[in-house]
Amino acid sequence: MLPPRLASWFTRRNLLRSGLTALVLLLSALLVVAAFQVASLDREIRSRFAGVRWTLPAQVYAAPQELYPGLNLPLADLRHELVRLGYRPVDALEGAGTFVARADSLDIATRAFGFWDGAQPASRMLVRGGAEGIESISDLGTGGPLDLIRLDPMLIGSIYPSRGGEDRVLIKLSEAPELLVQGLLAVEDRAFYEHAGISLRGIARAAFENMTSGRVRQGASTITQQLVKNFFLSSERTFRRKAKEIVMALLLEAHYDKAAILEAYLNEIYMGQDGSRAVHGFGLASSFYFNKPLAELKPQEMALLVGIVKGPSQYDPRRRPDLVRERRNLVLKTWAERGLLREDELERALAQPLGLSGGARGGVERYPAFVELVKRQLRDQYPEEALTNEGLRIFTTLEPRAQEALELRLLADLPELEKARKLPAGTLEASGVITSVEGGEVQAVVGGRSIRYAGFNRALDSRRSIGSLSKPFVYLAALMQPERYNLATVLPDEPINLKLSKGNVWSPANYDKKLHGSMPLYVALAQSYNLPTVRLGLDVGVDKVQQAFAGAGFANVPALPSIFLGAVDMAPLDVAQVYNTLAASGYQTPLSAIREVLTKEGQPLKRYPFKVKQTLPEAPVFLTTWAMHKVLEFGTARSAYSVIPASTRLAGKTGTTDDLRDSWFAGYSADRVAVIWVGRDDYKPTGLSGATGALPMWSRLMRDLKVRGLDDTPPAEVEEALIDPASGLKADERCVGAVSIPFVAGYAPSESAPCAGGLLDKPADWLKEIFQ
Amino acid sequence: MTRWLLIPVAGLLLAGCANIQPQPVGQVYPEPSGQPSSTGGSPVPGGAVGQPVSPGEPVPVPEVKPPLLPSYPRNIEASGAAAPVLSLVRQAREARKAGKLEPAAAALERALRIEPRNPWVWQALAGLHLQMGQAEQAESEAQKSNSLARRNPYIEVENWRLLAAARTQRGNANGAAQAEARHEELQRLLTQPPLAP
Repeated sequence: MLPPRLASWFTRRNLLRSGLTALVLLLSALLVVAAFQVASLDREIRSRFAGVRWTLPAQVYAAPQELYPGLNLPLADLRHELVRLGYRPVDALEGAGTFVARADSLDIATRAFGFWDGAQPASRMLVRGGAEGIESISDLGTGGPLDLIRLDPMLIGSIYPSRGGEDRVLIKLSEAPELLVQGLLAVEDRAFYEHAGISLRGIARAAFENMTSGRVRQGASTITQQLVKNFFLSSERTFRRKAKEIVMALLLEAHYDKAAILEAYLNEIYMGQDGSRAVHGFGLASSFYFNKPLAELKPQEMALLVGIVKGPSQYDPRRRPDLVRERRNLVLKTWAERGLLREDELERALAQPLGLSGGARGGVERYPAFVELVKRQLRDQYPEEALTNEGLRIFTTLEPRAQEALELRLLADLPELEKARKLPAGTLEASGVITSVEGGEVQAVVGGRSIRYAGFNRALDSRRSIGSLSKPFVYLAALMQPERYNLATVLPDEPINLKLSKGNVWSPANYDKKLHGSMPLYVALAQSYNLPTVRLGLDVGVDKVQQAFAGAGFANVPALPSIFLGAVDMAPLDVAQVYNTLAASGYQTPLSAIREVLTKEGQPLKRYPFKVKQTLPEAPVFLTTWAMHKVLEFGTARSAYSVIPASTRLAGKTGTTDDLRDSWFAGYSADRVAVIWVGRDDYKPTGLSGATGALPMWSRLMRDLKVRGLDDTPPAEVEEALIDPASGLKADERCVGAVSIPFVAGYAPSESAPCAGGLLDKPADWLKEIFQ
Repeated sequence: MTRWLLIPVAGLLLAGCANIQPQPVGQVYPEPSGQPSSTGGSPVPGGAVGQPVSPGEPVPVPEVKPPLLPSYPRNIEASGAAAPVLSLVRQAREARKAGKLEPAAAALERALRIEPRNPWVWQALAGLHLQMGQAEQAESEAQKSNSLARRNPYIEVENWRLLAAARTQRGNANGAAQAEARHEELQRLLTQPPLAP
């Protein structure tokens, strides 16, 4: 037995030793665990920062406005265009993005822009002109004339992932205005250049200032910590998360320099919410709130952005302007205190309004229906990630002026139609498409009345019966057989009872339920009579009509006689395609919404060139267009010329479906094709025909677009002849009411009409035989 | 001066049946088309309905009328095209010389957005696509140019050359030979002195 002292010593010593050993082991284990954790955090932060630092949505641009002498763009419209692009009116030119407006001229300081075919530098120019258009453009520096200049295109949207989508416009630190950067640090992290990621002094000072003053308060987090927080968004406030944040901030500072961290911050920080789209970074915030690039922001605008960093949902400038103004002014005062603003600058800035761009969505996401079309065309060729992550720059065919004109019609005319028809407000829906004739470029798309919200896109997805819009293809199919038919061919207007396969009988009727006697072919089309059309269609053959449709660019037409009267389901965009081929004299161009795609560095990736292919013969297409002009001249669409100048030659067709469920108009000028649909989503009747619903909108649209009239000079394969419309035969000066009608050359009637001394004839006999 | 006399002769061979309007020199682009797709002013045969049109195939000229017009512009510079169009066409030529074919095409398309019915620009685009090996596209564009050329032989002679080459590339020997014949015919008329009246 050991002596008590020894025993006690032994025990104490052993205990101590084993305790120490345990402690060392424990600490070592903790260290190892911590080291592993730190290493894992290190990997995480480095991969997040150094890899794809930001998912960068593709940016979508409208077509740039070309300016050149002779362009029929009234000066007032050009001014409007500049404002839409976020150019500021000033008394004397300042930096890029400003203009001076006078009665007959504009000084414009354009922005530099990297186009597909190279960079166009910023320039200062003088544009002279008036209500008729642009007369001359000269360089304000050299005084020399300018042939052609492009304005920077409008950013119209981004393609970001639909779930939790982050959107941003990437900026470089060197591009950020000095005041913004210094001002941001003055408010958010004064010791940014001294600390190593976290700032104990900052925390202490923040705590002190928070307690004592009503000034802009220091947040406890450094810029670096805020960045980490944004990288791994999670709003939980736990000690563990805070510790993780501090470790990551220290790691980030250990790996990257201050400039890289600051640049990342400027692009990463959350700046607001736009529906499902999260607005990240100062670049996008600038266009989201002010519709102009960061470089053009005024001090008070930068102060607003810096002010809302603190809490973009709380400080939402559009929802809580007073609170944000207060916050902005605090920031401005802080800047003045820190010597970033002079006293007079401060006074001026404080006096300014918030200056937010009109509408909740600024310059971005204004045209969701068009951008949807762009996305679909891109998705055929790029994987989803390439579109949402790689910052592609997409240059589209959208013409903002055309788009605006189309939107105006929907917004202004639908309520008018509802009122006139005593329909409850909001009952009617509408959609429309505008394309360029020769290039097949989609210039405008509206998918419904809620033009700012991406919802059901009727222009692309609402396939409805096209009614009489199909008739031109019946007549075209006939005119493609010039030895059998011409525009003067006399068609009977008589009842038809057609036995269908299952013993059913189809008995179409005219829209007015009346019979009108025999008439020339072009009159039947102009008046959109159903019975002569069905007769003609049956004689020509369903297959030939299908082929005419296919030649125009729509192959999905059923083999049924009812297609003569429009039992074909098409979306407005499909209709634009087939009418575009008619407008382009039989040359088909697949409609396209994209011109070029560039990488985020501005390197050309892909171009979408013009594509043409002759798919319909020119002369019969010319004759069809001639008859479609008669639709407007004296036919179902004659009311158009109460809106459009009579000298502007246009061609088009009304379309109405059973019980007035759909009201269509499709038509074209020399430069544009436009299609309008009006109806109800629930397929109930609207009480509107093509002529009373869609046509007035179309007419005003074409007027507003100042379209160029069609040329009526026939192509070489076409000859004109004087015809007696009653017999469809050759007329002379003795014939009353004779008309000059174009024919496929060599196929004008040689036989004289009775009025011109010819023998009496029964011109429609051949048709009657068919039905006997 | 001989050129002036030549033109009616050229027109004789080219003309379809339609009457031709006098066309002042320097007039800005002619909207209506001159030489149509199927060329030679012949109507589209009824039997071809619904078939893909085989445009550009020469068909015997049914009737010939001497054109009345004294002069056609011989190149785009003389055609009255707008200044920005000319400057883009020049830009395209330079790009093409430098082997930058895509930028050249882009410049021409930009010109077409300004003057969509300018046959010279369509022709230049056809030439470019031929060089890029896109014969089908080149053929359509040369046809389009012919459609819009209002029978200007200076435009057509080159279009037929392009059509012949494009068809050769596409393996359409027959069509190429016909186009070549048209080209040579025009070439002769534009380069040889006219017969005494």
